[in-house]
Amino acid sequence: MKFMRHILLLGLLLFTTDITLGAFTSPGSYLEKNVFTTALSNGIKVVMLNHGNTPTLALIISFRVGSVDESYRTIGMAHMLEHMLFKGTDSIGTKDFKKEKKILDEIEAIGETLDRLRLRNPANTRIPFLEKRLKALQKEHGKYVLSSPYSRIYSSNGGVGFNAFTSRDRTAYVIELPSSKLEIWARLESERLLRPVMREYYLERDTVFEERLMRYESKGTGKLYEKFIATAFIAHPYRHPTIGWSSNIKYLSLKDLRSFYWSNYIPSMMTITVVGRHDVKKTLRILDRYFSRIRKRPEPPELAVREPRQEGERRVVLRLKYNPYLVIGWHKPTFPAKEDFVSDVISGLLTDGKTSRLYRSLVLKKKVASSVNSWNGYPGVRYDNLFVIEAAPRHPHTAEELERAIYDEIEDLKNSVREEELGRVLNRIEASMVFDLDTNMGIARLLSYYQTIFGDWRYIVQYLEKLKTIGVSDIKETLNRYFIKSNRTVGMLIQREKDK
Amino acid sequence: MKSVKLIVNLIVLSFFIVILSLRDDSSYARASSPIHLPRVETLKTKKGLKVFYIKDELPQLTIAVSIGFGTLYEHSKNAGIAELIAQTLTQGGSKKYPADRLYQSIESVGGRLAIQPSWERTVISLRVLERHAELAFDIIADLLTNPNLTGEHIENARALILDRVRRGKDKPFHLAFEKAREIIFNGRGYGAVVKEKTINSITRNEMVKAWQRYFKARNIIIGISTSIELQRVKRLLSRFDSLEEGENQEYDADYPSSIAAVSERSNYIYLIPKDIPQATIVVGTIAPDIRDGGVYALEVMNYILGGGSFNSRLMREIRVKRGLSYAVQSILRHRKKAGVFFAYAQTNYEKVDITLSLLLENIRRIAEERISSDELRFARESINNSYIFEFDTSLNILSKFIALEYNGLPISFMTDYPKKIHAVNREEVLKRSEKLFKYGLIKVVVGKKELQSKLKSYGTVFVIEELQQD
Repeated sequence: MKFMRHILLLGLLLFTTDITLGAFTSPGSYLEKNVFTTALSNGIKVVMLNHGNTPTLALIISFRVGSVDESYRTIGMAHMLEHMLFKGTDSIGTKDFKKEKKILDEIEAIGETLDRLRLRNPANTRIPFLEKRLKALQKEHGKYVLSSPYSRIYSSNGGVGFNAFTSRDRTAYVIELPSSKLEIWARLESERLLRPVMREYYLERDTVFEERLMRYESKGTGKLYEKFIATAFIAHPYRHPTIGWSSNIKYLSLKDLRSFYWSNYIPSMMTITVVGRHDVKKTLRILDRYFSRIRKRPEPPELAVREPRQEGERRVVLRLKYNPYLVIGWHKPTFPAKEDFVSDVISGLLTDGKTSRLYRSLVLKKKVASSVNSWNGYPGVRYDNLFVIEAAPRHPHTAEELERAIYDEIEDLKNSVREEELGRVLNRIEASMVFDLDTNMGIARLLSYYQTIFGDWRYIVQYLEKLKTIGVSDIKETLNRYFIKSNRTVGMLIQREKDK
Repeated sequence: MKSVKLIVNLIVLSFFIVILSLRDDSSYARASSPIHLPRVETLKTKKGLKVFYIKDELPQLTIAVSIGFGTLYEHSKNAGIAELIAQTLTQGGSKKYPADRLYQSIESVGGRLAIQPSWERTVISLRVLERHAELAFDIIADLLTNPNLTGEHIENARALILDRVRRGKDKPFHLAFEKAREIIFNGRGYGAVVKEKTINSITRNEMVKAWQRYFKARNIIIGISTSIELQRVKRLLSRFDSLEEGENQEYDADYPSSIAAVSERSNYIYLIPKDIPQATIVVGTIAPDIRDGGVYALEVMNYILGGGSFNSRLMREIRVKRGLSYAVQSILRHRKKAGVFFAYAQTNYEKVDITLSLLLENIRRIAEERISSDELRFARESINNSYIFEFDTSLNILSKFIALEYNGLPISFMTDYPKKIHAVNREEVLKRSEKLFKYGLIKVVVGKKELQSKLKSYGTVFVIEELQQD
């Protein structure tokens, strides 16, 4: 449903502004006229929209770089790099960089040595000594550091939502600021990308490990999803968790991190999105002044692996002290294949709203589930991906019962889907276009996503039209071709008998 | 129907924000212009129903019906009744719009309905295109006057809530906060914890009684954001005339008994055993009423302690400088009659000792030592310069107005907020912090059972086994 959600937000923006301006009759025409797209001389794409009445801006810098771009040596590196870009530069976040640099170099030398020794032989007698030395150096280093420097500057300038996120497909840095602070943002962000200093690296790596404990190791569904994806994908890097594995995060090398940054954070992979009340021409001048300083670099080689065709059902069952859960995924082609659009409609039919098929059948009628959802495009969309259904069995029903009930509904959908039903799904999408919230950040995320992942935000306009061409035969064809046993992976979380 | 216009105060607010945001030497900054917040109209129907209206440019209608009834009205014997009523209404709809017809009617026109309980309110919100306004008002009016609180729907709702309760036990964060609230508030209001036995014991009769008491005109506030003209909205509001007038209802909050609970129990440390690699630590206490004059100083205190993202003391000491935790924060919520303060961190169970000691040490410091001038300046600037984002959508503005009304606060509470924050000084922060923390802290840890021995140095460890949680 990723696409569908995005289209809803965009539609709202378009509809809203059409009404305000009164001159345009379709969302597409408004977009074409009001979204300004250009590229700086170094190749950075810029997408801007002057929108809204409040003098605030939503600002996103996005890279077409995610965990899918990592190697076995660097699993989790895109996310680690995202964390490290909050640490400042040689002039931001330091009290005396010259003195600091000497300590940083020693910290890195010891840190890299420790990692190597721990990997080869955790019982190596040099390890405790080096650990002690590293701690002492980190303490000494603390004297020269002004921690979280960007956060401090942005906060005092009224910034909200200063954050970043990494997915399989991309990495994005976000904030909202009063419009008057645009130049401060451009200055800071360009410095952040031009001269990052990877200070406090080993402490931040520990923080990332804690993040992993929180998101995956201490959650039943977190554990299930991780194993499920690693089972559904065998060859393709989508199989790796974006955060990395618990067994590799602690060995992520600072040297490799620099190399990953240098090879991937390049102007041609970068999109700047600015949405809110501003003068687009003035904004462009500011962006050009600061971001054109980033020099062009060659693009990294393309990923040279495709997921092989699945040749039989795969199942992963976890017996843990958690309530049961079920996740089922089918491989399917990604955008711009027609099946991807069809899958969005299937998702709408199955789980969008209280009149959707799976909700009515599993939650209301059979009462075997307490919740059910579906997702098209998991875990990413740059490459072929999965259509996923996830559901929570309602006590005392089991994941197995729920699984059978879901297959029955899919069979029923094949046999009984009607054009009127497709109309309901499209109706919901079109109405949502109007009343979904039109926040600056919502619009910015949407434009940034399409521009970064697909190279052109305009695809979203075509997407709407494409949805309208989908008929019952397309639904049946896609279900018959992809929603089959040999193409699916099933993940089950089962409560251990002794814990019931 | 009376209509009151509220314009002047909002303009004052916007002007203040702009002045603050212009403190920048960039020439571009001076190009900033004032904020134009939409006008909010206040209406009152003849039955005493209060309505806030914002004219929106979108051809849509959003109605948010806020009923003064939520968790804060509950106690240990009926915890979950607000949720059960909301879930039953979701499952059963009303007489004219029973569930099937309700969702067919709404979803076929692309509408969205949500019925959700919160701490102090149950909110029914419906969004449709403008052309379906008649239908929307008809549905809301029927839900409020003819709910289907019948056996089958109640049992279905009960089963769904029981499932949520069971699944809540899988979530350490949820468990820790729930237990801390229960201890601080003696199982009432904020501390009312939904358990299997309480949900199972709530009868239809109790639900109907609650409905008859709380779902009345004078206990309901409605927010409307729409492109429909005010005059037509007034006509549509006549659909609610069949609602009984009733009375405004307030929840009880026994502040002294919560103070006593915190005092008596702050020497304990409550451990909920869970065999997971990461422990969740929550500490907390009762906070003052939102109408207390000290809330501004406490907001500043909380920003410095753990609310101000990466630059807060807790974030710096626990996460940035030591890598002990990813999630660490302090939270301060002021509500009518009572508020609550929490600080939490999630950390590898081997590091619980140092993380808890850092949490407590930083709270002790802020309660005993004056904050620095730099911290004060930073917190005041940050809070005020970002205040504009609380007014960036019509729904946010409506929500502010509803909250003011609910808490019995004047509009000036909202418009003067930046000035009050700006006036906070170091002495006031110390005085209010000292008062907030003087009764001690309730401490809850969810994590491996073997933590019991490590935690002894923080108080008498009280292990809450799973059966006791029920």
